[in-house]
Amino acid sequence: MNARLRGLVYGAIGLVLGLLFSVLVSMALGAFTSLGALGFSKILLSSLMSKDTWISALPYFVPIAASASSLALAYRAGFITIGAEGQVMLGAVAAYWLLYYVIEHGSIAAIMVAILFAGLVGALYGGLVGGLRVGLGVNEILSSLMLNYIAIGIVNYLVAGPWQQGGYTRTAPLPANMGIGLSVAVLVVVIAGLLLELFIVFTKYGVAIDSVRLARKAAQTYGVGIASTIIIVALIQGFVAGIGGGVLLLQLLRQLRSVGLGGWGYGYMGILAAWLGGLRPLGALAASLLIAVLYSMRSTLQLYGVSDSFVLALEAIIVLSVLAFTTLSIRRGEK
Amino acid sequence: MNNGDKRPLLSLRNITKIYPGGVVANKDVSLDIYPGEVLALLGENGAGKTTLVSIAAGLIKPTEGQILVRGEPVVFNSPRDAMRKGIALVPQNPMLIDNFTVLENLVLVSRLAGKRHGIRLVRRQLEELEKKYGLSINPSAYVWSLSFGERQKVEILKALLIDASIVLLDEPTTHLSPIEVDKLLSLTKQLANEGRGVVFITHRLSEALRVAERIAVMRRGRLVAIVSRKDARVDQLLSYMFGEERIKRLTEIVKRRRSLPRGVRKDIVLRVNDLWVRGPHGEFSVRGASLELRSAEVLGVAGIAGNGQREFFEALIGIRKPSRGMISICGVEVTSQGSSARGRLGVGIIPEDRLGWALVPGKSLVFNTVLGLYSSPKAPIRFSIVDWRAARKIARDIIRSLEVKAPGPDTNAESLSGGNMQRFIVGRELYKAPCLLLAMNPTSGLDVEAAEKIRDLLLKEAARGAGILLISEDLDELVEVSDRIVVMSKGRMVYEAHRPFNIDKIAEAMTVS
Repeated sequence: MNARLRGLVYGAIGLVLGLLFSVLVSMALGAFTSLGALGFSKILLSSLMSKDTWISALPYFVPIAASASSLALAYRAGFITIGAEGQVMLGAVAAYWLLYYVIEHGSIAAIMVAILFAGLVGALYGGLVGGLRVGLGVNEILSSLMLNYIAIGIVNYLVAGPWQQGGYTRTAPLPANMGIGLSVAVLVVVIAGLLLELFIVFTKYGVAIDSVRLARKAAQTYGVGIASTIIIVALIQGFVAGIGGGVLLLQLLRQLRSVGLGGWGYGYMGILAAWLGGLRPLGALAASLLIAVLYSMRSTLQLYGVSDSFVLALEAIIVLSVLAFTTLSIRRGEK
Repeated sequence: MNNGDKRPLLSLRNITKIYPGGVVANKDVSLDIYPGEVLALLGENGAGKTTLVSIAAGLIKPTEGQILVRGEPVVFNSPRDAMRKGIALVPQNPMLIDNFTVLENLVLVSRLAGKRHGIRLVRRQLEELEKKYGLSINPSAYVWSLSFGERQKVEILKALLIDASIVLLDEPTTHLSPIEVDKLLSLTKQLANEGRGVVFITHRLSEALRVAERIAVMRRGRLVAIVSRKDARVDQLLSYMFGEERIKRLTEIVKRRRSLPRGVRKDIVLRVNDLWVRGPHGEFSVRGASLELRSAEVLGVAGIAGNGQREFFEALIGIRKPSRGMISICGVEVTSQGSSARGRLGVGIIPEDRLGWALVPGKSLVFNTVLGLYSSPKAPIRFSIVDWRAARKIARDIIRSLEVKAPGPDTNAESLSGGNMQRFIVGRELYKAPCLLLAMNPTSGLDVEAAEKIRDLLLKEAARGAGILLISEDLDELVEVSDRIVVMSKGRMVYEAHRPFNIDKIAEAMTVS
C-alpha cells in the first residue's frame, strides 16, 4: 500500500474507533442527566441512527464543508487563514446582491452565475489575506480575523441600511424561484471538495503546496514560487468558501439578517473540520458531516431535557476522541 | 585498558531498531561503556552509529533490546529520562534554541535534567566550566549569532553542566577546523580522565586511533568488532568498516577515475561578472566576484567557511537576489530571475543541506523526484498535471542506477542514510542532463566510499559535457576533481590555480587574503 493510501485507510479506521469510543463515553456520562445513563444512551443512539438527524444536518454541512475543504488546502501550504467565516458571509451577500438587485430572475443560469459570483467575491477576500501576507508580511491569522469582523460589519450595515426591508434588520427574502434544493447544495460542495482533493493529488500545485509547508528552502531551490503558491492557495480557498456562502444563502438562509460579533460560525467550525480531516479535502468533508450532525443533534437532545451546555460538552468529547484516534491511527500507519 | 574489574556505566543489550519502511538501522547490537574510557564508534555513514547513540540518549526508542545504566535496566521515554540518568548527547548538528541566549539554553537544560538552578547559579557554573575546560563563550550571545563550532561548544557545556557521567559525541569534528579538532580531541580525553564514559562517533579512522582506548566498528547496523587501540591495525579496521570486497571496489573507483575520459571544453556555461550579494544581516558577503566556467570543466571554489560561499551559491541558484553584477547561464542572462529560470535551463542543483534544502522530509522519494524536476523540461508534468506513474519510474531508475539503499520509490526520504540521500539527490539532478551543475559541499558528512562515489559521478557528468561548479570546504576534494580552482576570501575571488595545483599557494590564499 503506498503512503498516500495508507494515510487515508488508517485515518478512516481512527475515525470509526474515535466515534465508537466517544459514543461509549457519552453514554456513560448520560448518568449525570435527568434521563439516566440508559435513557440517555437510548436517545443518543436513536438520534444518531435517525435519518432525520442526518438530513437536518445537511444544510449546516454545506457551509462547514465548503469552509473546511478550502481551509484544508490553505493549511497544507502552511497558510493559516481563519478567514472562511468572512468569505462565507460575503459570498452570501454577493449572491443576494446579484440575484435580487441585478439579475432579478431565478433561471438556472442566473443561479449558477450567482454562485460563481459568490465564489469570486470570496476569492478576492481570500486573495486580500494572501496579498497582505506576501506583499507586506502581515500575519494571515490576524488579517483574516479582522476581515471577518469587516464582513460582519458589512452584513449588519446592509441589513440595517440600504437593503433593509420591513421593520426588522433583515433583507427581503429571495423569491421562491431564486433558490436551490438541499441535494443540489450538498452536491455543489461535495464536488468542490472532490476537485480540491484532485487538485492536491494530481496537479503540480499539490507538490508545491506541500513543499512550501514542509521545506520552504527546497521549494525555493527547485523553482516553486513561494509567493505565487500562497496567492493561488488564498484565492482558491476564498473561492470555495465564497461558493459555500452563496449556496448557503440560496438553500437555507434565503435572506440576510443582522449577525452578532461571532458571525455565523460555519467558517470557524470549518477550521476544526479541516484539522479533523487530516488536512485532506475529502477528510474535511467527512469531518464536516460529523460536526454538522452534532450541531443538529443539539436541538433533538434539548427536546428531551438535556441541557445545551451538556450537549456542547458531549460534542467536544466526540471531536477530541475522533481527533485523538485518527492521529494515533495515522501514526501507527506510519510506523 | 583492562575493563574486567570495572562495572560498565552504560550497557546496550541486543539493540535492534527498524525504522518505518523497513530500514534496519541497528541489528542485535550489544555494547558496554566503562568509566574513564573513550570508546570510538567507527563506521561509514548509514552504519547505524547515530541511531545507536540516539537510542542511548532517549531520542529514539529501540524496536527490541535493553539499556542498562550502572547495571540497572532503564526505559527512556524521552531525552529527559536519559539526562536524569547522567547521559548527555552532543549531536552532530547542535540542537539549541536559536532565539535563546547561550545562558538561557543552559538554564533550560539544567531544568530538564531535574536541577532547578536559577540563571545566576548557572552563570557561575558556566564560569567555572570555562576555567576548567577552556571553553570560553559569551553567555549573553544569542545562539543564532554563533558559529557552528561555538554551537557545538554550547552542546558540550550542556553535557558538563548536568555533570553527565556518559557523554555521547556524534561526529563532533565534521564541521571543525584542524585546530578546533585538536582541541576537541584533548577535551574528549580530559572528560574520560575524570572518570566519565565517552563515546566518540566518527567515520575518520585517524580520529578514532588518536582519541580512543577501544574502537567499536559498525557495519550495516551490526557491531562487527571491538578492538583495543594497541591491537588495532588500519587495514583490519578498514576491512571491518567496509568489508574486503568493498575496499577492492573503492580502489577500483579511484583507479577508474584517473582513467576517465575528459569531455571537450567548448561553450561558456556560466559567466559571473562583478557580482555583489548581501548576506542575511544586510552586509555585502559577495564583493565583486567574477568567474567563467566552460562545458566539461570542473571549477572548484575553495575557501574557509563563512567567506561568502553560501551567499554566492544562493545567488547562483536564484534564491538570493544580487545587488549588482551579472549572472549568465548557458548563454541566458538570469541575474534577476528566480530558481525556476535555472530549472527551465536544465541546471542541476546539489545544495549543502540534504534534508530541508534538497529533499522534503516526511515525503517519499517519488514526491522528491517531482519537486527536484519541478521546473525542469524533463519534469513528469504535463499541463500542470503530475504523471505519478512516470515519476515513480524515474525514482525507481535513480534508486537502481545509483544503488540507493531504499526499499522503493515510496520510501520516506528522511529514513535514508546521508550517503543514500546524497546519491539519490545527485541521481535526480543528473537525470536533468544539466548543462551546468552547481554543487555545494556535496560530500560533507559522507563516509569515504559514499564521497568517492559522488565525486566519481560528478566527474562522469563533466565528461559527458556538463560544466560543474563545485564549492567545497574540503581542499583535498577540490584538488582531486577540479580542473581549475578559484579561492574565495572575504567575498572576492582572490586567486586562481590551474593543474598541477600548488597546494601551498591555494592554502595561503585561503588564509592570508
